[in-house]
Amino acid sequence: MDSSGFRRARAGVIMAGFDQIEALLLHHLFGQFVLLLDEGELSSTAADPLTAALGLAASTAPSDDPALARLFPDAYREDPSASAEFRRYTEADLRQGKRANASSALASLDWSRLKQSRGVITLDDTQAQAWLRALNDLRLVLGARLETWENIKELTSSLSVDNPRLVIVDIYLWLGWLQETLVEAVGSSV
Amino acid sequence: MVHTGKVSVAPIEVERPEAEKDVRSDRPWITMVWNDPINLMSYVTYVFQTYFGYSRDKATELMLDVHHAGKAVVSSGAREQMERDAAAMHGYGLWATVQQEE
Repeated sequence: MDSSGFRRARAGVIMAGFDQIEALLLHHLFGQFVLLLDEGELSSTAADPLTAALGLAASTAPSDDPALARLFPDAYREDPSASAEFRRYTEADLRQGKRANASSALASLDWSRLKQSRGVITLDDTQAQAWLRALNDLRLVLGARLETWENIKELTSSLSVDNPRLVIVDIYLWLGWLQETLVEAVGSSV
Repeated sequence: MVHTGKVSVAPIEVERPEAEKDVRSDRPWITMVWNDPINLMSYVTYVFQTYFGYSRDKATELMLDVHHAGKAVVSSGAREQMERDAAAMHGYGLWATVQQEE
């Protein structure tokens, strides 16, 4: 992958160039991320339509899926009832925010449009913020899947070269590099 | 609603035996951010600067506390505000919890 990452072009404009493989990969990953949020919502939304319409989650405990549990963590470590109450009132908004960020990133990755700009995407500050959070969420999911609660380098050296998880490790590391360039771009003044 | 004159409200006296008063209630509330091996150090620093308005030095110091000590207190105040802060941290993908100061 030979993307040069994100850079600030001028005030309010952040750019990045992707080749087709990179753009398709990112598009696929953000799409999968939105599906994961949908699945999490199905398993947590109130069966009672009124409660659901009010945006209140029925789930009171973190998901069994470690990736969803990391995206929607408990807010109180030693108080399950306070955590459940917090979750009821915040999880729907939190999910909606994460979905909107990923959708914003997805929209900028449409290859039929990207072809015309030769793979260059141009973001305003709001879109850059959405990208920043969406990339971080993506890394949280992949990290949870890879169980990188231990050291990622140990994992890399412990996997045999034909292990398909190595591909995910590569993608995870590339996303980390990409996010690093975006943090620098949004944090830099012109 | 129309106010037609001075309204005085008699204080409501509630008997509350001193012994039953929750001693925990006096302690301030805090938002704690916990370390994880996924979030980038630069990103965590950026979030502390952006959301809390901390200086780069203060944000970096807090990020290093999280990284080395495993956790750091990033804000303190009323419980409702701490819950707003924790929810905002979750929006950024940081692992935050609310508790009373130990």
